[in-house]
Amino acid sequence: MREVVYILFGCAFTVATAAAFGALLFRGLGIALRKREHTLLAFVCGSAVLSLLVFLLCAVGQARKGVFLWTGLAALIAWYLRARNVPPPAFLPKLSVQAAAFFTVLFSVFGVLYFFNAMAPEVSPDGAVYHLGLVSRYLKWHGFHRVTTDLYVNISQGLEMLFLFAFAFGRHSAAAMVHCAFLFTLPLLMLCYGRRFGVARAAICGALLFFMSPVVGIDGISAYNDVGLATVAFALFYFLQIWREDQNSKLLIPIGLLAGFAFAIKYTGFLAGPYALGFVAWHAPRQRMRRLLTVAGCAAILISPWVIKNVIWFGNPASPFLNSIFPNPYIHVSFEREYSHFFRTYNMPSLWPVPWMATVTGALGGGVGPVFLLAPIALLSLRKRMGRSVLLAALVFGVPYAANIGTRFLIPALPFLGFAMGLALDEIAAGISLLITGRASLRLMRRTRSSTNARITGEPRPFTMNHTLEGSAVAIGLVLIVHALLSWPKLIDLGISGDGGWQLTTLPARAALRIVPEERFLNEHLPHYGMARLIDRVVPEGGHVFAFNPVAEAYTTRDIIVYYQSAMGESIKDAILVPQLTDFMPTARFDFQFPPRPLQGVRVIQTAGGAVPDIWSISELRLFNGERELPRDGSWRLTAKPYPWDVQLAFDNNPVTRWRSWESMRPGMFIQADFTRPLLVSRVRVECAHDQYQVRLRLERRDDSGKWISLAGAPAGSDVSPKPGWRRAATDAIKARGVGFILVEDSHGQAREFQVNPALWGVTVAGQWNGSTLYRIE
Amino acid sequence: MAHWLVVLVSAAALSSCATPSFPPPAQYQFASPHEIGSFVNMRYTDVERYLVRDFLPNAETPVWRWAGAHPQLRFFIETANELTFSIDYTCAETLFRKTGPVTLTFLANDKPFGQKTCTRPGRAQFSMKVPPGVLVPNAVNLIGIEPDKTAQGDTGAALGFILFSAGFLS
Repeated sequence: MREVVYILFGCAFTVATAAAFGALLFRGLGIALRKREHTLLAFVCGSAVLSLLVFLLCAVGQARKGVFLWTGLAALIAWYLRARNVPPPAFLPKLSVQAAAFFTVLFSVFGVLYFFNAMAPEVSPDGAVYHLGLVSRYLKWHGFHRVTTDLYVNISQGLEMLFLFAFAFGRHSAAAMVHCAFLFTLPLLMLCYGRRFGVARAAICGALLFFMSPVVGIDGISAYNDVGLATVAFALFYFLQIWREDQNSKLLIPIGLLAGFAFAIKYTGFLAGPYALGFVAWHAPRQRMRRLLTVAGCAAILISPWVIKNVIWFGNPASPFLNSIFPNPYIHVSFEREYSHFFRTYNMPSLWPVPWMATVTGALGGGVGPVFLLAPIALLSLRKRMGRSVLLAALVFGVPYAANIGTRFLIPALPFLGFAMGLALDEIAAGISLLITGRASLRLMRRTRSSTNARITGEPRPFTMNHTLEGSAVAIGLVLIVHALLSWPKLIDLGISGDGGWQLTTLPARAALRIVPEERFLNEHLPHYGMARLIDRVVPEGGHVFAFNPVAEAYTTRDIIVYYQSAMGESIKDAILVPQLTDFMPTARFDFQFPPRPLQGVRVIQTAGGAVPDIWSISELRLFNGERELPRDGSWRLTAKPYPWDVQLAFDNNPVTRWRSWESMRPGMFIQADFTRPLLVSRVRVECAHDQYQVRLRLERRDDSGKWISLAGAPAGSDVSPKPGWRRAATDAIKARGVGFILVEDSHGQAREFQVNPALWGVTVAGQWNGSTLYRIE
Repeated sequence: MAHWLVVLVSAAALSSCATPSFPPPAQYQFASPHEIGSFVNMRYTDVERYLVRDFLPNAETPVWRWAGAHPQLRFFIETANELTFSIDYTCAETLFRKTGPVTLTFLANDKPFGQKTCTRPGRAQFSMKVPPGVLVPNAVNLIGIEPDKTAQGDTGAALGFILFSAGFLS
């Protein structure tokens, strides 16, 4: 039971601290909001402040439980002293009893489901792998460490900073519950918005469409960030609408902070900045530049820490993207290209099935619910200004979906889309009511001559607003009830939502309350949990494990190098494949022969161009005088373009390691060696693999003036046979990089190779768990 | 914001202009257990190390070799676990007209472990799992590929088939 208290405290303390910071910010700026919306917006804005503060604490190595405790207490005391005694805020317009009851019932039913799921031990794929994997490491290190083998370190982690705050007290579940707090906040915020701007019914519709959506539910209860981003996006929209009405310049500060926080939470929130700036520029009657600078400056406060961190540590402000613009040793250009292409298409031949998959089958990582098939009706809301505003926001926050068609990338746009659907349903219901009651009124008018007479005579009015309102309420209510039924876990299980996907399937109250022990629940629900624990037992402190698949890093303290998550990982995987794949084996030879001459430097240039997707590589570059190979001298200077950082692999005498361009072949790529004193050379040999069929090579030398000029004609090509011992050479190379273990799932293509030939690789089984084997490199 | 971006982009671009250079690393002492491996292609420059007997030299087109009545190769087998024997060969049309279908028998250390019949002329690839116990691990193994029929070539030598590559893959 003690665990439950810690979890609840960790979450509640984090949320309260954030809300306190937000309230202090509003108090300091003199921003007067209305009851309810004040608390909700304070939490969202305060989250931005707290996130920044935790980032700074991480940067100075003070991410400690005690520091967090005192930070939170200081914020709460300051709030108590300063923000508590503010004049009572104005109330928002009241909801009708029926609307309030309807909202409360559905919100509560799903709320209970979400609460217990969030509180249960964290088993989400990304949460258990990197969102909380990084958080647990930051807490262990008391801040950031330069990790170059995990691309997830490079992306912005604004919400993870809040997770870290909560994690320090309540571990994994507390962090997940902080995300759940955003899940609960957003519908309430939408409701406030609807009440403030007189569109309560549409707001209820949007709020519940969002809240009950299956993918939103499971994302929101996990240590993810999509729902957090959606909440921040809506809060930004909320503030912008208030600002448009009030023109209170003070509001531009939270607007800027939220725009920056959207980027800090997730790169896909980057459009929040341009959106806010564009909105302000469009609606500012005067002092446009000053207002824009205010927004941009505040946004930069939240954005710049992550950008600067990436520049300092990874040489790329947008790492792990834009690597061709900002070349760096940590992420390959070729990886980024493949990665981006995969997420744009999920390797599907056509994108036509995507709407069906995203709404019904959930095959792209969850579904938003079949009711969202009605989304096109949202276009009807364009007739109203509110509808246009909401749909513009949906468009802005929906644009990044094109870069990743996983359903959860729709989440930031979903509140706006649901809202617009609500507005449209209002329109449709009003239209239908008009149609029905219009005919009735015509009949009545004929009978009573005029509607005025009808009122006077006490006959029913031919047409009133109440009719359309009731019609709209019924329409929205029906849609929401259908949505609720189709989104409820048990009904999804029955097959209503096709083959499902990533979604909640149960209400794990006993696990949430830790009546079922956490260890047991994790073993049953997280396939790699046991392996993570085994790694902790087997791998020594500071040890590194190379893995072909992600590991539940949130539950191990050892460093895991997943092959696709870094340049080093890809390089290690390449070394493992070279001894096995004929095309990867360094059996090709290109010999440049020329009369012996003293050389100051040689450069091998790749000249093939056009649409060649192959990656250029050289396993070894050797220099000869006659038949004698010239020993590599420590005074040589080696470089290459592109990707110079691995150039030593072409000069290490290990046949299975190779320098690769890590981007598609193009003319002008080169690898070069410079000598401090001239060397007498008569032959340059390039040893390489055949997985570069169109490669064309030219040899140049450096002349006395430093210019590069042609040295020899076309090389003579030949082949030699593959040699035994290459597997061992591969594991030697891996070990030389500080990696002592290899983890392979038994279902992986490489598993058989290690099972059959452990002696050739020089590995022994260090442990096995649930279909995965951990090998130790001897 | 725009200024910030300009500064950052410029700084990063400037830093990326200087291509880093490195000295040669410590040299890996690669110790292959044997000078030959488990697979050979006739185009390899070190093919002679694999040929034990009955292969004709081919200086003009060094990507294939005529094999005679009792051709034999040698391979160093690191491990005998789950290996696949693979051969890329041709039953030459001129020869096929004289011999008809030819059956190749594969022998490991003089013990047969498989057969393949060439029912029509032309190039063919064939792979088969090697039964356990056929090969001796961590040793040189002699592999015979014996045709059941041969015919005389222009030079008078007995010719069986044309070999492009053969060997064991895991």
